Amino acid sequence: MATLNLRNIRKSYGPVETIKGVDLDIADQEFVVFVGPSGCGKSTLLRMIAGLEEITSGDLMIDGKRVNDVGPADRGLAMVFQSYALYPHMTVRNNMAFALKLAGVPKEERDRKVDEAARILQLGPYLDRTPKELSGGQRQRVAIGRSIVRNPRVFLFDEPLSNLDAALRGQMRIELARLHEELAATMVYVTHDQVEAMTMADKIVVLQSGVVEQVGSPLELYHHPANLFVGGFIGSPRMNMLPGRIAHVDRTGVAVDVAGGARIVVPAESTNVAAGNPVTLGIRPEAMRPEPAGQLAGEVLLAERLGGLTLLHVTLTDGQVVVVQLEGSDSTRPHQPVRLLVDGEACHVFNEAGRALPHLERHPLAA
Amino acid sequence: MKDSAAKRIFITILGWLVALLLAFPIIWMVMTSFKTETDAISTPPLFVWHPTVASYAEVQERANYFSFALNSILISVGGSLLALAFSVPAAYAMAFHPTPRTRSTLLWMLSTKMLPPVGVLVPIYLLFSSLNILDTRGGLIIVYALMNLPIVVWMLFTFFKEVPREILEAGRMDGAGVWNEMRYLLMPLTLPGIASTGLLSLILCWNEAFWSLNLTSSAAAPLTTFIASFSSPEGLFFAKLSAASTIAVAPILIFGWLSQRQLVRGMTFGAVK
Amino acid sequence: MSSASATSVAVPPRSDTSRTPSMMPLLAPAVGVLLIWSIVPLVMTVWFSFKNYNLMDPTVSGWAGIDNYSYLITDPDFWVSLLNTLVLVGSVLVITVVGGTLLAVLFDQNFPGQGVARLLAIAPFFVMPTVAALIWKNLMMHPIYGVLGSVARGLGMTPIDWFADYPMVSVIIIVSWEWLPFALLILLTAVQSLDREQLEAARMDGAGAFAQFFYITLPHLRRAISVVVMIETIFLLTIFAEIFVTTAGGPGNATTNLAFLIYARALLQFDVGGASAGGIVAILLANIVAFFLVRSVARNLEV
Repeated sequence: MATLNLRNIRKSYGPVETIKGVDLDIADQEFVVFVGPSGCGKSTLLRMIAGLEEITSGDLMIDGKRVNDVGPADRGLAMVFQSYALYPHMTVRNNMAFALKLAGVPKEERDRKVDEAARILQLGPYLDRTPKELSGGQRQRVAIGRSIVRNPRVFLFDEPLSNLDAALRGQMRIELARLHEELAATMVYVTHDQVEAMTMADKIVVLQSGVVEQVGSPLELYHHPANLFVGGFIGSPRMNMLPGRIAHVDRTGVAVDVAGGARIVVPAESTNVAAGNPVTLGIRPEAMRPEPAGQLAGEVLLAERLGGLTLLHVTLTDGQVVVVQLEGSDSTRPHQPVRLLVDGEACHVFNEAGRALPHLERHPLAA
Repeated sequence: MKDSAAKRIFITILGWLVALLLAFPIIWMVMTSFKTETDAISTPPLFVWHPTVASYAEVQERANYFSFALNSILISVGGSLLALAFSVPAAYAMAFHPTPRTRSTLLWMLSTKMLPPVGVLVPIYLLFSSLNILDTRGGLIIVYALMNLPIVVWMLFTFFKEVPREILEAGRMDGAGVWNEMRYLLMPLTLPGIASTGLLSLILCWNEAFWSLNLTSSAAAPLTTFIASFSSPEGLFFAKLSAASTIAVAPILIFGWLSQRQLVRGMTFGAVK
Repeated sequence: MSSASATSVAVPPRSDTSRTPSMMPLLAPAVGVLLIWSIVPLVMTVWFSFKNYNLMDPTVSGWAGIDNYSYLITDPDFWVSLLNTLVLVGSVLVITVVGGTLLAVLFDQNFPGQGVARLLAIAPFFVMPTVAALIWKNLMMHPIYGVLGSVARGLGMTPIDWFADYPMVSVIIIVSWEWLPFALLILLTAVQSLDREQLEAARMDGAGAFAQFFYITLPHLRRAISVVVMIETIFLLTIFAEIFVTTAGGPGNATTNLAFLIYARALLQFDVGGASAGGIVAILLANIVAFFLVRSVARNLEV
């Protein structure tokens, strides 16, 4: 049972402010992912929650109690570090039992808890080894095991999968999701990998330069990005961004003219914009397909065939390259002229300040 | 492939030849130490002879060899322990709790090592003389500790720096306070580094021959000074010189071989990795 | 420490320093003793260098002004000692760096018994200077009983009376023998840190052994070589024991370097003032090197 509340949390090093006022509510048993480019402050924020960094101003509440001045060990949290930070001179068992030992838990109970955690993580055969005798994935599991035995109110993860190879990372993602369900615990997870964020999170917090850009469920962020940054950051391949100008507005949406004279109508709120405003049109790669009647004209530069998907890189008449994602294997060849049909309903319009014009209708899965 | 086999043989021969040539004076010294004085000066040199330990016995008779050896041990160990006593807390503070001034403090410490001993020979000699600590072990221990302090601090600093920050943070998350952090994490993780730093300091003290020659004469004279007493030629003394030298060099040679990696680190202040 | 409080007011302290108690008590003893060790004798040397002060002759006293210095620079012995110092340092540097680099490349190769051979090659560095000098002087270089003399006679040549005819060369040989292993050890460590793929790429580009050495290995070693040069210089500038036990600066002043000159002035002639002036020269000389060394180390220092 744990909720976390951040109230106007700030962090500065001397005159430099790295976290610029974060407000956030994390519900019990929620899996929250902080995501953003490196240097955005996501790790600092996590370390402030952990108690490893001092909070310059603002309030951090766990279960409604302000814990700014409580030491890291007394906040009832456990943290899994990027480097795992296993104690190299202790066996796996002692690594996992260390916190309990310091807390004065009797030996039998320590052993019971370690054995239980080892069972969950399939670490049983390795309990008497030292960390350097383990593989990367096993070390990762020990690090998680070390946090499980403490039975914490909140689990904190600082880019825990970034040292693993791609295959193992995929496997650990599933394992972490399973663990979240089994332990029914609140988890806060930091990553720069938007795929990890999308696949595991109940709630994603997108950070940039110490500011929260948007908070929401994965699909909410995907289908209703609040601004250019989130639009560009979430989703792979990236959203295509075309500069354009508003042609006209009405109750059904906004018509945007982009390079080459193409006009695309997006069902977005038009209250704060007027014809002639410069805007950016965001088109997801899967929101376009080759069609003789398409609005955009261009030439295929390159076709990446992934089997189940085909990515077409298309040079538009103004020289901009857009990426189009097609289902299945496509026969389109490089240097072939092509017209692209854009699904206006799946497009996003960002005003000059980079803010998205809200869609008139919400995506059904992004309530 | 034939070419590379030939190259391999050539490299093997060359490598061993160079190694044996460089070590030859030491090897010859050890061999001579087991000869009689007449065998020692035989020309051409004897490579086969009846080994004897007579020279070792004579060395002990000639001057109380063990008191010099004892001085060497006490002064080297004392100087190294004293240096460690000052350095461990300082290196700990700088490595684990750096401040904006840590960098300049470290560089300043390094720069004090650049002060040539001969530049301050006169005042140190006069100070020692007025404090009545000329030719005392305590005096030399102090000088050796101070002389090696910068190197010891630097080496410890680089060792301490290697303890990953995240491990200590994990310790804090697990509830380790200052005392438990020391006991369960820092001590076991840094002990090897402290030991090899002490070893390097021991080597440097043992072989030091500027201060020992100038500040000691008999009562506190270590082996470097004792060996120097062979500098005025006297009858037949090659075998005795070799025997005395062999005992003086042997222990530190073994320590040196054990600590060659740390030596690179310590002597270059981390500039060569 | 007024500066400490000043900084903590100006810059908000980092989280770590604010929660943990001040580290000053841990740092202060080491800094304190080093401060004393580096300042007090230095100030005294400067002080004495402007005084008339003879240990044996109390009538000599009072301020000397710059007399000690002017006497020093008009003394031909001083210039000889300076020259000897430079010759000694320069020769040993050339021998050890060139030899050390070649040996480092050699010992970087794999050959049977390589580990043992390397131990033998670095052994001389751990031999105390007085032993090294006396073993060389007697067992090796003695014109009648020394190994080198026997080798010369075996080859039908007249043995060289090293210390009588080539005293400086003899000292250079001994000191080089001591420091060659040091250069080898440092440079070997550096060679081993060279990325093997770089050498393989060079081989793919058609570089032979020499081209690999000059275009890949040597540039990679540049930094290590400069460190070896600087550290050796610091130590070689004040070579003392080797001269003290072999030549005592002679014959004449043929092997008197600055360190030995200062020693002789102070503890043989008891001229504290003159010796101190010489000491200041030694300190200045070392400082030139030290400046570059500290700068080079600073570039690599991460706090």
